[in-house]
Amino acid sequence: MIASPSMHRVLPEYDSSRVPTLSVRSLTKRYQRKTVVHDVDLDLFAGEVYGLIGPNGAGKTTLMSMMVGATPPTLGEVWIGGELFRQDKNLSQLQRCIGFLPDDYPLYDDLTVWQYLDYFARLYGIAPGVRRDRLYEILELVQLTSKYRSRTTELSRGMKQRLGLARAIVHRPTVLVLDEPVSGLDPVARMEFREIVRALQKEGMTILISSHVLSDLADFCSTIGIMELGYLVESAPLAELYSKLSGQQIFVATLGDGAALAAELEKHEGVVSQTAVSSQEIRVDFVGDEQMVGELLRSLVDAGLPLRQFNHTREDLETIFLKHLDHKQVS
Amino acid sequence: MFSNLLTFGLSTVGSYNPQLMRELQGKLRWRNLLFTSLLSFAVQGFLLLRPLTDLPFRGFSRDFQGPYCLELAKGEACARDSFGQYLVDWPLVWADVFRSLSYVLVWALVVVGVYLLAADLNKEARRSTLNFLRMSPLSGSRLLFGKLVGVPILLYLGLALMLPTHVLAGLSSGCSWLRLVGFYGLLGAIAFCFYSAAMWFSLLANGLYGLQTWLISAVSGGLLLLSIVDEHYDFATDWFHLLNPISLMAYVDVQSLGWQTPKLFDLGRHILSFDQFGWFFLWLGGHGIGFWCFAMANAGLLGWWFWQALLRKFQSPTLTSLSKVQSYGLTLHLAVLMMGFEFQRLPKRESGVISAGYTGDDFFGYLITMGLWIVLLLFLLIPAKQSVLDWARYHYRLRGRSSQRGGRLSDGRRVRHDWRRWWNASYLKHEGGPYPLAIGVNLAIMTSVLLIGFAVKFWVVRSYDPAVSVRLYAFGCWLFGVALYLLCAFLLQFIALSNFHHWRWLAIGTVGTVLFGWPIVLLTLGVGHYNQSWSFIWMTTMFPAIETLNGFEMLTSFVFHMSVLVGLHWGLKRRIQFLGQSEWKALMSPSALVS
Repeated sequence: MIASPSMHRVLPEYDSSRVPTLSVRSLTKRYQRKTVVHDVDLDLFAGEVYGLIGPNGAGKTTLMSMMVGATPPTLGEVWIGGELFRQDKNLSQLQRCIGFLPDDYPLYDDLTVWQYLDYFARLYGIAPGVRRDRLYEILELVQLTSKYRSRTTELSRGMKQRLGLARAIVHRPTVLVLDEPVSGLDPVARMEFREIVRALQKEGMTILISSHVLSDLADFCSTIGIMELGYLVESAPLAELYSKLSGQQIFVATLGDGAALAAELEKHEGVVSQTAVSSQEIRVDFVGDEQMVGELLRSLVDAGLPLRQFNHTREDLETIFLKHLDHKQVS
Repeated sequence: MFSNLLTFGLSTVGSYNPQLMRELQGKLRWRNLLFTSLLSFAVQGFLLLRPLTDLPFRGFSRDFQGPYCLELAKGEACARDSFGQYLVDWPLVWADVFRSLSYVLVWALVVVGVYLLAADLNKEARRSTLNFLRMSPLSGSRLLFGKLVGVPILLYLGLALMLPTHVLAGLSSGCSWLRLVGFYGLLGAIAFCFYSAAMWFSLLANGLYGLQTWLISAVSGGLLLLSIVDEHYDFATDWFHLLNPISLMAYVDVQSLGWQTPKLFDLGRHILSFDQFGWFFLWLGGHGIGFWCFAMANAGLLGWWFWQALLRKFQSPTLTSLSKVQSYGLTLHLAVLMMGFEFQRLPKRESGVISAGYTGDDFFGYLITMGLWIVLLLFLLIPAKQSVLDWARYHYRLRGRSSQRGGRLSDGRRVRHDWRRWWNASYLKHEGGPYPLAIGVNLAIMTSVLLIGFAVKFWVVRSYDPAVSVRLYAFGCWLFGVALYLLCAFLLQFIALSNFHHWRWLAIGTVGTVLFGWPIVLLTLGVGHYNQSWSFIWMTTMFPAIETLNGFEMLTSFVFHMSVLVGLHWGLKRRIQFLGQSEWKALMSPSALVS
């Protein structure tokens, strides 16, 4: 989908050999002489859960809105399943491939849960033969089977949110876009939501999710993107992001001589640094992956040191994000 | 049993139109159905019982007098037959019931239906569910049709319950089946026209926080009211008669229907002289089928225009309320329609001589209605700032490309621009293109229809036509008005491109000041229209004092107006070029977050 007057910039090549489920190229949006989303390139593949994080006003909602065709971009392209999304040509065809849950998940208060889902199933043209089964399947997935006769006004906030999610996936979209889906939910509702997203991921659905609850994202996202001031400043698989941006520390306590332990650790220069020593406890900064942690532990044990405690910790997604923001502000 | 039938019926409807099913599901509940039926029967009961208060009943002791007496005996009392029963004019009694029910049908269907539809769309927009509908693969026309039929379903049911009584009363009062069917057909077409307009207005005025719902209902009621109080038959306001199927009653024997004694504030009195209703001297008021066809065509065509505008606004809420091309069609429709009514207006003469101050009074209504329409267009067509910026950026780039290559392709061949096509697409049609030209085209359409009206009327009714100089005065007034409307268009485009947050209010204030505020200031300062030394100032107003100026002064005024317009055009062109350049640079610069 693209505004026609904007087709004057050479866009990055679209690689057709490995077709992403959702792909955006140079997506840009300007409002009132201000660029709110700037030149975003992104590829999402089948079964991938992409977490989009960023402070308020970073452009996440606008980016998502452009991806689902609710807002026309100033510049750029959206490809879904290898097909260019165009408002004037294949909009309705491609809208069947997208499920979207906005942050306020509005409902119709004069309908029951079943009527609400049935209505959207019909809007998306689900065949009468399979519609009933599909609705039962979805109600089970979002754990609302017992509530199918209840009016939407009678549902709790968590249930309403799950009903909104059910509406977004009723037509089996290949791409699901969730904008702040867990905001305002209690921990139990968030946990239930996580389970549903995992189930959808197993079905092979590509999911793009934005959230401020970063611990949740770290739990089920395979890739993370950080947006700031309209730019997608980081986009990498979660493991890569951790190894690149997350600080790790190892805490070792011994029953024996602390100096011997320190001497042993110094042999691993390049992997550990900035040794902080007390009498029998040492905390070091660590760079490396899980395997290297294992190797370090093995070497300490092989050296005959009487270890009392060995802990490996690393900064979580929230700390990475805050550090990233801090760094940006300083720079 | 009934519940199962309802579920099956809704499911069947849902297979065709899910939106209609959704509306019906939300509204067809036992409580609602019961309330609607009771209300409908209560209204019918009241309207049936009301004439009974004017009827004698068994055991009536005194001499009876009343409007339904067939004959009057001595002392103005109602006559009796040989059995002692009063002679009552029963067709007249039924005619009163029929007339009352017709009013209820028309007013309830139009005003209440308009309110329900506008309120429903406003509610959907407020709670953001409208976006879900937009993003669904179902076409906009099917969605909106579902709303059109489904939202006022209880109203439809309530009125449908009145139909048997209405038909019975109509037939008993002497109205034919054909006329009844015509009445219902016209009522449907008019309701479609009002409903499309109401939904369109509800979408375009959603910044009024729900006020638009009351506003459009009040306007609909006002139009219906005007349609039954207007008695001109040679003025633009004749159009109102086409918006009310009650006008069809004029073709029933008015005596038998009791129209000669309208009771409620004289409403409906126009029916008595409706045979004077005409269009381009076609006396449709005297020809039932002709009037029906004309009214159906008007309602159908207007409804179609509004429906197209509604679809556009529904599918793309950020676009202007009307497309430029739609505005040209709608302007032509309204101009021809109004001209048809005004065409029949003959100049008033004093002692056989047309008065000196006369400036084309026989087209006065046309000029006023077209003026109001163009003021409305000034706001309906104004493009959003972002659209103009996108357009400006695109054109800046296009110009840049042409000039960079020296107008040649890579193989040396000269770039061939289809400038006419480009110009048409950019200025006459494109959403983001500056809109003064589109306003100019609309004004040109109005002017052309006016000129044709002048010429044809001169040819058709030469014996009544005023002198050529009078026509020239009228035309000159219109031309100076055109210059003022164009001035407003340029000013509004500048305002829309400014950084004012509440630019719409500023735009309304500007148009109000230019068109109405300035003449009021002149009057307040004591500068009269016929004050010879200062009258030329009135050339800058909506009411130019052409008749007081000599040729040189008029030429000077014309040159002044043209200079202002050319200056504004040049300024706007520069501004848009600058914006296009800065937009392009901002977009291409990787570091430019805020330009």
